[in-house]
Amino acid sequence: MYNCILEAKNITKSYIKNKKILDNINLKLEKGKTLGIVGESGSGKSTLLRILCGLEKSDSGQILFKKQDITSLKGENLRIHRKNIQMIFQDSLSAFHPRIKAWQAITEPIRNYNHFSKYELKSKAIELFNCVNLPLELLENYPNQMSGGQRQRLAIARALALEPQILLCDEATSALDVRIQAQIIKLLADIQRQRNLSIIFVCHDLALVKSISHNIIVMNSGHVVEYLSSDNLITQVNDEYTKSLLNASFFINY
Amino acid sequence: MSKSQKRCLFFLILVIIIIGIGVFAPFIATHSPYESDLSNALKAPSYEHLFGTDKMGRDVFSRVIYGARTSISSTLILVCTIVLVGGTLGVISGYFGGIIDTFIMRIADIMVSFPGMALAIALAGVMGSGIINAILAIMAVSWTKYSRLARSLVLKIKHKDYILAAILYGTKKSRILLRYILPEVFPTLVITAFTDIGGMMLELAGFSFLGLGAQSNSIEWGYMLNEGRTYMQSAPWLMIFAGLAIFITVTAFNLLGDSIRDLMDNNTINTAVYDKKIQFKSVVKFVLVAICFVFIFGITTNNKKPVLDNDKHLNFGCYNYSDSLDPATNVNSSWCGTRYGITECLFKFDNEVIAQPNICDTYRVSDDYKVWTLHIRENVFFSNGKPVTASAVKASIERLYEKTDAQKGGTGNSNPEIYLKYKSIVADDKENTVTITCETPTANLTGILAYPYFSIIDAEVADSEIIGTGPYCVKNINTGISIDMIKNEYYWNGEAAYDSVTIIFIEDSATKSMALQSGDIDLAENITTISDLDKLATDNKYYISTSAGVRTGNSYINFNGILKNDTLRKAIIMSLDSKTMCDVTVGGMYTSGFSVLPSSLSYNYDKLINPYPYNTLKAEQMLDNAGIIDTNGDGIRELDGENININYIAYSSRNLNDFAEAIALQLNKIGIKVTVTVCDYDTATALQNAGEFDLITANTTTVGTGDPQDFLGGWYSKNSKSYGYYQNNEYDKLYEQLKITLDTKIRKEIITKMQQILIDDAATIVHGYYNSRMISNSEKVKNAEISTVDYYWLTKDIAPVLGENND
Amino acid sequence: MLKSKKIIKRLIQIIFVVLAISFLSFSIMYISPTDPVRAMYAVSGSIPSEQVLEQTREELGLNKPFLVQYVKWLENALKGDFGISISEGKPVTKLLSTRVIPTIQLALLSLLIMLIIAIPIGIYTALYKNTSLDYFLRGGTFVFISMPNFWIGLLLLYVVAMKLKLIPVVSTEITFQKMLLPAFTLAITMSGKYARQIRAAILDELSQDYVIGARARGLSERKILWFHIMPNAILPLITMLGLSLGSLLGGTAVVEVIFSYPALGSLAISAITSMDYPLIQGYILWISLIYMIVNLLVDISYSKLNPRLRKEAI
Repeated sequence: MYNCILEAKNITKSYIKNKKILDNINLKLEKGKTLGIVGESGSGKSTLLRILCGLEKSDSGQILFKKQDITSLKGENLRIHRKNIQMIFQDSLSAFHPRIKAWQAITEPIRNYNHFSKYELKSKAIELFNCVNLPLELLENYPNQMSGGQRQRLAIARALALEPQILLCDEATSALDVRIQAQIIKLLADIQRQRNLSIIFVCHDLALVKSISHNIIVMNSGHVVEYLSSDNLITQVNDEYTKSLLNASFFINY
Repeated sequence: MSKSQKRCLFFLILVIIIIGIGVFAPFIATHSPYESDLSNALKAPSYEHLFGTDKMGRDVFSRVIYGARTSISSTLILVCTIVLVGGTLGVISGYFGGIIDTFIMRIADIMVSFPGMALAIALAGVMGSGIINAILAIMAVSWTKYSRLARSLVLKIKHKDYILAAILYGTKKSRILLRYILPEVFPTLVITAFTDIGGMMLELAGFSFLGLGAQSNSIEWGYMLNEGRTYMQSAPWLMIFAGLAIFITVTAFNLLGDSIRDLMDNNTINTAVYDKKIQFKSVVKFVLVAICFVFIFGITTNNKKPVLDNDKHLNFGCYNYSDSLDPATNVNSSWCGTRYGITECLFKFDNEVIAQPNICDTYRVSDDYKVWTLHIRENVFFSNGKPVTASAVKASIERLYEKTDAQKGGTGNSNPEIYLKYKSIVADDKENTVTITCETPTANLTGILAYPYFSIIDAEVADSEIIGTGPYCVKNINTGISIDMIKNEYYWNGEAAYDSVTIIFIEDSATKSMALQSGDIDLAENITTISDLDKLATDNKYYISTSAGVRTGNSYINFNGILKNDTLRKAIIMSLDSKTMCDVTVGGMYTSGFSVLPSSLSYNYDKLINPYPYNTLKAEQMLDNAGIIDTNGDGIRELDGENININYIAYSSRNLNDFAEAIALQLNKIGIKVTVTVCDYDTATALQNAGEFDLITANTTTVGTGDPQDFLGGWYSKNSKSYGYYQNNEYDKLYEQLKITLDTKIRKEIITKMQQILIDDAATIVHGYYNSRMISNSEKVKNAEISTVDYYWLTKDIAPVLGENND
Repeated sequence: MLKSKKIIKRLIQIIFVVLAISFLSFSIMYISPTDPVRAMYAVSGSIPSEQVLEQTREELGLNKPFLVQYVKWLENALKGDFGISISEGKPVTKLLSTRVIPTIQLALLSLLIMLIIAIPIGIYTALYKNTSLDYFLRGGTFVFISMPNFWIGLLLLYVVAMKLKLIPVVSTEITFQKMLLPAFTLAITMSGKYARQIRAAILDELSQDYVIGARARGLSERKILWFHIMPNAILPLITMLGLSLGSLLGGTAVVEVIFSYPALGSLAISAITSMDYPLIQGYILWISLIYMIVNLLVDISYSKLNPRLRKEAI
């Protein structure tokens, strides 16, 4: 079933003249599936994500959400649209305001669109905590009073608060220990199944990306150099760059 | 509680106490801060007056306590405004970026490019003085710091992930500002503000010191410091306590600010385990090296002996009224020439302000007083050796008029034409006479020609140097600092007593006095700080020559207002203790008197009668008998059913505002309310011309050209709309007669009668006559007398004391 | 050549800002309620008739429309002619130029003395943090920051010149001696702020990793202090120094009055009190120009000295 929920056409962006950080990028995200984006630092991955969720504007190109052009949304329209796409950042500590408690932080998004009482918000928070398997004792804690893994779950909880249809993960696991990484990946996969969530997963670790993605894009210096479907990753590879990435990554043969 | 928290709390309590003192002032002060008692002025601290009394007899302790209110509140308002304005602009600039950011930052750049204090002074000078204007001015230049701070703080977190996340989950801009940005920016701004409070208070005090901040009607520490400065040596308590108050408050706020900051900063882990002895040595080495540098710097720039010091050399300290000596430049420059003994006129005023022959020795005048033939004295030379011929005199006068005629391209600002308009000047070198034909009959040409404008200088070289006929001539001008003069070898009138004289410009009176006492100068003109004057007066080493001068300080009365009531006016004059005001309040700067013409002039002051001598009781009786009483018990008498409230305009020149204040206080005592408004000269003049005053101060040279006719014209009813609408038919008749009388004896009689009329009518309040002074070190200088009219300072008579006391 | 391009851009900015300043100040003078002509005569003590006043206004070109006056002034200014001072009768340029050098000398000397005082104090209070020496020194600097500078000035003058007779109260030339006391007065009031700054900067640096690293490598404490910590600590100070230099150049009026030191500050005040608007205009322009150039120099040296900077320091 081919159902494209998000599409980017010919996205180009440059910060400094003559140096394009994104050059004519095209991608398609299938509903309920995970698209992995692989690339090294400086390849433009994060910028692409920001453009996709509307935090930045591209120089040219289009973004289509459910076949509708959302490239030039602004103001209140943009704000309302935001409910649909949420993002999780690499550094979970800086993604939270240090002096806002956990349950408040994750229900902030809800407060932007509805008026709920404190009690209702608290119960919403408990719900979200359960979603991401966080122990309820942490409700009143501050973000710096948790471990990295717990915090990242918190970030996921917050992202889910608005029940978005698309979740963008910008190196969401890169700062975590390997075992915690696996937990988070598993959590994401569970949530995807439960909610039919579409995920874009950006990472520099090819092996990791492979384990969660249905499709993979390889980026290098602002270009998409390869489109792959995860099943036949090794056999499909054509591009030299991708090959070198493959060789460089530590595989545990399965 | 940690140690730093305890410290913070301690200082916070201290600050609260200080603020509390201001808030609860009425309960703490021992007297009312406004209550004055002139007879009790300038008393040292005692049991009754803990901090002593000031020059108006007010209790200093109470004034300091009440002063806390104004000083602290104005400082806090200032700081709050700065933080709000700067912070808001900074946040907007940082958050919204783009054009707004560039615009705001450019404005900040511009404001920062004005050197702070200078711009603030300029703004205050333009907008007028007063606390509010001072606050605005300081704010205008100080907000940039906070806006930059706020902006940088905003920029620091603007790109943080949690802000991006917040935008991402739909937070509105306003909410982001409020919930995230502001709490980040605000504390730092507040802390910085706390550390700035002390500095701001000092800035405001500095403003008051320069006379641009608080005015006399407010009780403020900076202003009290300024007032007290003139009494620094004789009544130091005036400065000490206000200064201490500022000092303690500023210190408290500084300490508070610091401890708050330390509290926030206490996260730094001190890992230093230093060998302190080594540090000590290395720092000392650094300091020594640096000091050596400074000395080398100093020695290379210092290779001249600062001040000459031998018997026949005089160092004369003067206030610098003008850098130019050219009589055509402006009034002050022309006076400088004659004052320093460089230039002279055809006539010279004696001590009774009568023009005596000088360069002109004899003269004839036609019967219609239009054609004057002046004979130039023989053997008079300029200091460059050229003879003073009739043509030279003519050239000098013509040059004056040319240089001040803008239509002919003249750049001088003097205006000789207000004194003399001539049809022609003819020079006859054979007879050595100059004939001036005036446009109108001019009885007083001798006086006019004695005015410094008409100094005779060598017109051929006048554009590059001023060469006159006086006892001294210029050797070298050090603009703004000093003038080196040498004796004029060609002086016609005897011999100058000194071989060389250096005029040293000293702006500040206290400094002048110190220079005299330290021997850096041996002669000084007009020391106006009262305490310094007292100190010098009691010391036998110094000789002070005082003259009651030719300036009258008075207040014009508006006869179109409430003061047209005769009884009221006369009672007012009777209730004023003129002598104490002159001697104490303004510290002897004026000689007391009751006629509009100074007692030192030759217009029969001693024959005049004062029908309203100082007698408060009688004044009150007069008012009571006339029915001008207080019926409703509010302490103010009523006239025609309304409270008497006199609108008194004063400007602060030569202590006039002190008089106004003192008068207001005395009249308040007998139940007449007076509101004093101190403004600058121009505003005052404008109000005067518009007739919007009941009383307005003035200080005028009564006999600029030796004749008081112009001054007396202020009460001539055709002129008097600028001077209060006084009208008296007899006075008018006398004035008209005076205008056409040319015989000096008759003029004198008429003028005497006119004075008496004004006195009898209580036509104006006379404060006194401004004293001129010459102070000299009597061990080194003799004959240092001041003349009545202050066109002459350095005369040929001022001579060194020679003999066994050689230094 | 990127650097010089930025410098040129900055210079253009300066010109633009200075123009804006001149326009602003001209407008302020124009709008102000005081009448310069009347003020001119007020100086002499006698106001002539309205007729003469009007005549003088015509002569001085004060009745022409605002822009005409401004453009004329600008024209002249570009030629270096700032008009004739009303109160002095001399060309404004001459008056200003004779005072510029003493002003710069005084400013530099003050900064130098201030650094001599502030750096040792800053270092000591940082190293001996929270000991009684720290409190004593900081207390001392407090005392001096909290006193009005004219007080300190008068006190110094009284003590040093009169009682101790070390320095003449007044002198005819601008010698080093004459500069010393006013510079010292200015330095004292500034030193507190800088001492605090240096202290904070050093404390910051002390906790940095590289200090531990240097110590581990066996460097002597003295070398660490002077060659590693101080350069880093001083850096932010340079911007402050620039600001201080600027404000010194413009606003030392109070000290100048007390010590009879002929520099720009007292000239400004006397120009303002006598409403000598050509002089005021010239003064504001000169000061702004000098100030901005000083800032530019400071920024250039800052970016040269700080290798961490890759982008503009502006």
